[in-house]
Amino acid sequence: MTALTSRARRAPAGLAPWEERRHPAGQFGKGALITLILVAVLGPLYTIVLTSLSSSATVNAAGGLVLVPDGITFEAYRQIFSDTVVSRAVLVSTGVTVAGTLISAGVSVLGAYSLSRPGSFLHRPLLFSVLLMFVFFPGIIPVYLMVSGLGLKDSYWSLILPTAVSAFNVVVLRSFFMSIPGEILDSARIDGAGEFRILFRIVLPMSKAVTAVVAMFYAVGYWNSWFNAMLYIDDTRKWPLALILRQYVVDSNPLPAATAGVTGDAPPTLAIKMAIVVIAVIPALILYPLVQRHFTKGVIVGAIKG
Amino acid sequence: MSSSITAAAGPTWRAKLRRDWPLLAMNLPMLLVVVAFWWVPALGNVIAFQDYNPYTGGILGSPVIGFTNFALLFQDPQFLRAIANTLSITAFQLVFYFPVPIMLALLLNSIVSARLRAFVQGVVYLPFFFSWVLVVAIFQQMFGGAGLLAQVLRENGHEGVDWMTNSDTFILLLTSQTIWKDAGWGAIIFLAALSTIDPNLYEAAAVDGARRWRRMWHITLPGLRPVIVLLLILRLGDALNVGFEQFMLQRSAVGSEASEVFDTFVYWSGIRTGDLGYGAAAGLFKGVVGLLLIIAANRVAHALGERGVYSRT
Amino acid sequence: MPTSTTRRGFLGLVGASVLAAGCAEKRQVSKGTAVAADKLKSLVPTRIPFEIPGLKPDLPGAEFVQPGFLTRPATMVQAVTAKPLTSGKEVAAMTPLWGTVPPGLGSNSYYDTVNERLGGVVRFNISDGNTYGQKLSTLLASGDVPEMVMVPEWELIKIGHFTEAANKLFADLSPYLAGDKAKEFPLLANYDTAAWQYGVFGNVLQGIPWQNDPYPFATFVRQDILQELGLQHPKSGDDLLALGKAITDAKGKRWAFGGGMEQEMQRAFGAPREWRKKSDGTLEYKYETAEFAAAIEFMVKLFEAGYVHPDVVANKDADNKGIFGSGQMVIYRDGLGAWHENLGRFQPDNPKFDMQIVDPYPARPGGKTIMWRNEPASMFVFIRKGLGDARTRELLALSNWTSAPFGTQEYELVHNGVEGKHYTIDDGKVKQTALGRKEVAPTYMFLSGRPNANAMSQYEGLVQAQHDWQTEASKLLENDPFVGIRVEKPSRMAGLTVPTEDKMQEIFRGKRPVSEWPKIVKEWQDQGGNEAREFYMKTARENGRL
Repeated sequence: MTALTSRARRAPAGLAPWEERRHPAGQFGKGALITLILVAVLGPLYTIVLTSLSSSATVNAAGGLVLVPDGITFEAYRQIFSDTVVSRAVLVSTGVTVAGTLISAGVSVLGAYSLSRPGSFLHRPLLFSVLLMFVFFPGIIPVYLMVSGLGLKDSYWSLILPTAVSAFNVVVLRSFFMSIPGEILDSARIDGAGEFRILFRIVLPMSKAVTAVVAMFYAVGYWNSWFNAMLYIDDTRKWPLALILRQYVVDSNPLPAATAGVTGDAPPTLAIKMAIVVIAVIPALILYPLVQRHFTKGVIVGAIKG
Repeated sequence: MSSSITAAAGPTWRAKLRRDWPLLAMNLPMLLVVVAFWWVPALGNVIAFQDYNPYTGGILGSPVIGFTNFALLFQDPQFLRAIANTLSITAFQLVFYFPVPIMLALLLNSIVSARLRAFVQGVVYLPFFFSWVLVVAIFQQMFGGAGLLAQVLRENGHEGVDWMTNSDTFILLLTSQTIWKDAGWGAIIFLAALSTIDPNLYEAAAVDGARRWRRMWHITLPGLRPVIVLLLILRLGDALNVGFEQFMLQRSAVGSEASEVFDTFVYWSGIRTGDLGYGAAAGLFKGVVGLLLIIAANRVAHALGERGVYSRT
Repeated sequence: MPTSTTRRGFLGLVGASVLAAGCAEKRQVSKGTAVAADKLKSLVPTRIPFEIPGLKPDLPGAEFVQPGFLTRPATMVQAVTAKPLTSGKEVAAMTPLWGTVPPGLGSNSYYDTVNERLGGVVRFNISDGNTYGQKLSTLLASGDVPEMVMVPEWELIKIGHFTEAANKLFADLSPYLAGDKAKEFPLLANYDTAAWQYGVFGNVLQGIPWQNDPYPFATFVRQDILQELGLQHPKSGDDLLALGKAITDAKGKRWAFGGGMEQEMQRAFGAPREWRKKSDGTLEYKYETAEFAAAIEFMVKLFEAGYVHPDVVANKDADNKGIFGSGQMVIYRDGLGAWHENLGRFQPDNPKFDMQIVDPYPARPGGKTIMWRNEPASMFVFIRKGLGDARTRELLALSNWTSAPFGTQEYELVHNGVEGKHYTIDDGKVKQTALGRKEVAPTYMFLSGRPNANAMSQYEGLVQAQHDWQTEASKLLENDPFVGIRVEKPSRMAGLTVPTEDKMQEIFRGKRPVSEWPKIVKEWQDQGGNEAREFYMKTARENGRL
């Protein structure tokens, strides 16, 4: 490790020695701006969390999101998690997200690297097969016919394969891969390294941040996706969490008068809705710090010299 | 595409194949997925040129009607308004939304305390996970006629305000909603790009006497430039996509004149009544416009010496 | 070659085809379909009322008044003794679900019990009610439908060429049900004839209907707040204006009106629900009537005066029930089912919460009052084509079983589950247990419809008040020229509804002047309204309605 990278690691403690003192007015302005941003995000977040923790009486009296606390209850969460269907769906979602992210990230890294060398064999047609995904889309019905034709209905594969490649992620990865100085790759090639070796030994270690980000994009996508499951999975035992939770957020029952059955003492739907919003955010809260770890400055330096 | 192979001076395709087969092998998994789940189903878009009826004819049996579906799209009096609204929203947001995630990333990056930086980063991107329904509801509860702001004003003897139903300022409203919801998420990619900039460059520049703003201009921004250009070109290709739900939800608040965009227009004029051929035509139209814009933007990028999304040869 | 299509080339092609087509026209666009009324009668079951021995409603029913039960009957009657499923083959059925997902087959004692009674297993393919149409249209277009499919009317109208889809994919039920044949399925023969007729698509009886209330909606008030303010129910539209002034207090976060009042006003002014016969023998659509225009003018007054809750101003589909329950809004329009739904939702926490229904009122004091008559059915169950005679009969027997009305053991089992396990009876009121909440999902009830009963006796006074209101409203019901005929809206006209009514909403909200309404109606006429009129007039003439 060079002195510089270790200095970068130490940066949290303060400024690098070559950095000039910060101007107090600038510091104040920045502080005010950050405070404003935090208030703008945390304020609504507070009402969301508060509403999810409120009793039906409080929510009914507010007629919307609750701004002023009036007793805290975990009833909404208790009701959601007491449901065996939900705990099962958490497993399904975790499995699909982990498997899907590994597959997607793997396929995308390989694909993006294979497209990062203009002038290679079939480069342009293959690149355009990805780029045109930005502008031309298949309809729902033909994709459905393909999925059911391949016998993937009611299979977890139907939740992964149709959305396994995101053109955006591939193009972003490719752009980062192409930013790596050519000399590094050339010298590796001269040393006799093959493409796979270059990718895994040089390119990937130098692209940890973007790879982590792309993996997170995929993971978040898989975790929150419900549409494919709605279409392809008939067996509710295989439903992912996102689809199960959607059922709690029904706005109002469009059924004719006589349908609605007996009303129990269920907690208010809005509290449940907000509890679901909170639950949906939790994996992101867990995931992001993992990704952030790769945002440390000086990765390139470390990779080259290490 | 055969022209690019023969035109390329240098090794023959055989030699290229021998050299590049590992790259092709790496591409294969992606190609399989993309062909099977994207391009083969996308062939179904031929129904844009048919009077498609899945029950009496199907794709093979429905009569071909040429560009009638497209003509139906263009001759609707609301079409031009929808296009005009969509493009002005895209233009407005290119100026007032697009730079925000970049600036946010720079701001986050400049926070000295690692703990504070991690906290702020972890907080600002959360609204991305909220649905549009929730985002609009939050704005309504803050700035609507019965919202927090209006109530506070009334309690203090002022007139209440309602920022949610003014069609003249709708573009400001929806852009601020978009900023609130998406800017933190959009900043992530720029944070990743910032982390790849070699810190040696900063030190060297500082030693040369470049102050903070000069360093940002000469090191940070050039470091971000490939990503910025890439995202800018992709956004242009998406010019006719400005969202759907956000506009559907606020349609009665500001009226259809202000809120009609391409996607909502197509929804009301054909998709809602199940006209699949019309929907496919609208999708193809959008695709062709997007493609032309991407090609044009990429040319401009090349002219300015940028890499763009694809290179010239 | 496609990649080399230049912009000019593309636009040129498009331009050429526009010129060639003149006004573009698609041949297959649905022009609407209708079946003549006398033909309809021969396709559907002859009604044979199903008498439940020993069950006598406290408040007698009539044609448009549901029988009322002030207390829960002490014993429930078994309506069907034979088990309907006999082949031992699993039934696959697709139904929508509004609510939480129940545990699946094998871990759901409610399913187990009902399947035991049925003599076979029904495997439900349940799908989110909010996205049901999406899945349905995909399955229909790809021809991949389960044995039984439930299709709500409001999704059906969004599926292009639905009649053709139904004719191609679903069984003709007339061979099993037409006329006296329905005797084999006595509970299906118990349905209203109008509802059955509504299940005829393109001359074929295909849908087992879910019978609708004849009343589309009513005005509801927060009685407790009116009382507190010393105010009376409105007796006319003019009263609404006075109430708006008396109730609205923005500073106190209280507004008079919620959403949907425009439909009440259209009715109050006497506009038709859809079409109306003019004196010159032609048809006019509601938009074209003076009454409709008057209703718009009236609504503008309500909005302008600031009597409408701001959340409703900002979103015509705002959560009215929630705002109403919080007391921020006092008067709104809703379907009749909202009554017990709101009582169940708000009364437990706010015992003062009192919701009352307003008797139908005219726009001007002393004016003529009408009540619109609703479509006779709102959902349909279809059976897949080509299952063979025996299987089709078996599935009809299943529908027959689930059709058992209030007062039967079958009804209780389908709606509430098993007593003591999924629900308990406490002081004559049904109370769901935790297990019941989890397991008893609305599934079997969607395998058919059933005649409705007014039996929510768990809410104090509701049954009586509902009965009184229905008795009053039934005298005012106004039939449109197409009552009893299934008319599938021409798709062009169906597509115009939302854009036209959006413009009306914009007038309310001051985004367009009232004076623009005639122009909007003209646009509607030109873009498909007149074409639709021709179709409807032809239909009316063929049925002797003009």
